[in-house]
Amino acid sequence: MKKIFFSLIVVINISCKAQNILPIERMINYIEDEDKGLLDDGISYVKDVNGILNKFVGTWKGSYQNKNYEFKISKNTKQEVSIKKDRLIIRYKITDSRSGIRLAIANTLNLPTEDGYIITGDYLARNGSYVLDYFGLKGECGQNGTMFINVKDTTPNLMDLFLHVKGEIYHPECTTGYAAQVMPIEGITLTKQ
Amino acid sequence: MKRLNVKRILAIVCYSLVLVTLYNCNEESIIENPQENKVLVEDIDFDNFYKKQEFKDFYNQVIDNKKTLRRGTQNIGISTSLIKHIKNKELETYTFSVEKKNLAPNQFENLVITKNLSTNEISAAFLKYDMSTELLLDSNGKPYPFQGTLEVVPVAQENIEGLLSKSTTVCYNVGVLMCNDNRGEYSSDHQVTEACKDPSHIYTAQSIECNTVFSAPSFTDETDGGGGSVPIDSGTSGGSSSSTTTGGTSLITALIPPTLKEQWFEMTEKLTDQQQRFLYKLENSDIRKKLGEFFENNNFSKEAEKLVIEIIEILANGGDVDLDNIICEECSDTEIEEQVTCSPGQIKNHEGKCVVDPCKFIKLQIQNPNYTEQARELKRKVGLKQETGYQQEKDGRQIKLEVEDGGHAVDIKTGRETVGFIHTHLNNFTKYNSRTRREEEVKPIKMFSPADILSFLEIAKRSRFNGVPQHLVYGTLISSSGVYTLRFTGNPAFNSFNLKSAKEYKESYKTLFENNGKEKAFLLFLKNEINVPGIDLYRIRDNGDVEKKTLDDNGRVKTNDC
Repeated sequence: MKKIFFSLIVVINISCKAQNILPIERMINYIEDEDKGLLDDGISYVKDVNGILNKFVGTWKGSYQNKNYEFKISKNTKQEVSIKKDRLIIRYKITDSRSGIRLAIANTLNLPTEDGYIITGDYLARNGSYVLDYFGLKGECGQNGTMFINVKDTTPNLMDLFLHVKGEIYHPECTTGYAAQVMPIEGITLTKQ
Repeated sequence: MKRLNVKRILAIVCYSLVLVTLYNCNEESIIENPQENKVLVEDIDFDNFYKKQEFKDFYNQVIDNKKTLRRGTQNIGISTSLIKHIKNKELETYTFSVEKKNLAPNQFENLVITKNLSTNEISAAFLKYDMSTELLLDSNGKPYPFQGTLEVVPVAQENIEGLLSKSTTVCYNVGVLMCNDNRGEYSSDHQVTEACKDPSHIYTAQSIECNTVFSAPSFTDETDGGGGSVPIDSGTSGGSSSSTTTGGTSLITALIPPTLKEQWFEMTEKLTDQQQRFLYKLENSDIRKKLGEFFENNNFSKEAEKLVIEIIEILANGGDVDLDNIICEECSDTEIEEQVTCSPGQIKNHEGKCVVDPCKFIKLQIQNPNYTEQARELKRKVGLKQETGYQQEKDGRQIKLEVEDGGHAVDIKTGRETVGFIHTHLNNFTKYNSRTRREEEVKPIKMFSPADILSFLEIAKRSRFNGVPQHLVYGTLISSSGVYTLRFTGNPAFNSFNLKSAKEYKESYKTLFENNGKEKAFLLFLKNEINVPGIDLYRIRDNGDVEKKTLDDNGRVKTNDC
């Protein structure tokens, strides 16, 4: 019995070493050290070991400057060549909140996970916010930047979200000039549905 | 006030409509054309084309070994690397580029296979382009302004051989997709990519082209690709004997750009404005063709180039030259030799060609007081919350780079005569969220972004035509963790079709920088994602030392002193 138990521990140890897991909250170390990447330390899985991302998952709604926002946040595992990464991805729909206008300003709710218009997660910041990469439907014309979301433990049904606009224009792809921003650039508090 | 509101609502509806339309475009590559209902324009690969049984059968019937097609006594190579698929409610076409060696440098051909969707009839034709102006590969978008002669030559295939033996004149109604996005000087372009997405700018230019099959093309209509419609005339044109007209055959196509002969363009750069205007006149197509053939037949040698320039000078001044009998004994002697060792001041580029070593010019640049002053100023500004920088023009002007309202990144627009740019990437900084009263830290990547690289490539590409020496083209980045500069030692006639869209670069760029140190990540991004050989990365140290950064065979960053 002892032998079996010992063998099991050995097997578990080997598989742990083979996996080389990095808890997602420590990913920030690699973002801050620009001369070192995950592969340099043989990381094979950036994992949400402690389930930190779960509180963000769900549908969140709110309004800002005559626009209604619906963000659908889900958690997935991205499989790269030699690393797996747990992360959040966001699909969204923005509509004009004034009556009579029902057209969506932007809608990515039906896009597949790998589409570039899906907002994809990067890392957990030291203040507990989750940081994501945004590339809008006019991303080549300045609708791009870094998105921050935060859910306080005391108010799990409320989420702060805001976009830091990078505003980068891709030449010659952008042919229509700088596009207006449609995301809440001064911040928004959303309610969980 | 009420009126204002109505206006605003209208504007929002319009904007939303455009957004929805664009969104659809991106998802399905469909370009809405108000005149043609829906027009699908997409690039496809050969396998996808070959899956369509009826097209496959037709293709196999006219093209041997998937690659060559016989025209008279000639074997014509068909490039299968890029195929343009266009479909509207009446027609479906596939356009291939033709690899034909004996075309003059200013000419090229596409093969178009067309299916008439109402009759299910499939036919093929060559579209022969003879440029009367330079094909501006480097204009502000990807479409190509084309002006010149367009000639349509039907392809003979077995099932219409009986018809062909009667020496039939076939008239094609050619509908060429055009884009007019009001970019000023070159306002109408051949629509070749999705760069022109705005449906209100897409239209079809009509032209009628007639040819007698099985004899030399007897009629060539002068078509101004940049202009509007050419009146459609269904009558018989051309001088063939016993000809009958097969009218109503339509063709819809978009140009696939050729791999242009850069030696031709280098030669034309040496001409005066007056000589260039003469050479590219519509009626001088034959002169261009003959001179081009002569130049190419003599391996683009220096002597041949000299002679071609002399001939243009004579002709432009009203002189006469027998272009069918140009004799130059020395011209073909100077064949292009593969250089084993490069001269001092040169290095071998990725193709093994000796090119100017950028090191000397980087060192000269960083000793220039204008540069040192600019670099010093920008280093002071890396702590700001907005990027700063300059763009340098050929005439020496330094234009301040602007940041769009609400943005943080500079817009590197680059013009027709831009030499390079220098700008900052910022330190980490805190952004205050006024609504939620939360502070967040922004952590910019202190290396060239995909947009920086694409702007740099635009400048490099234009160096073919604008007289800016390629080795002086630069893109420089100033950040608190290093000063880097890019130089281009590759072929500026690289194929822009291989570049991806901004959206596609987003994820791969981020992933590489998460997984690797920044220099390695950037070099991998250039190699695997941008994939235009010859973009070289240098780091400029504070003491003035310049280091070239490359990847070794094991994927490690190698540093060599300049």
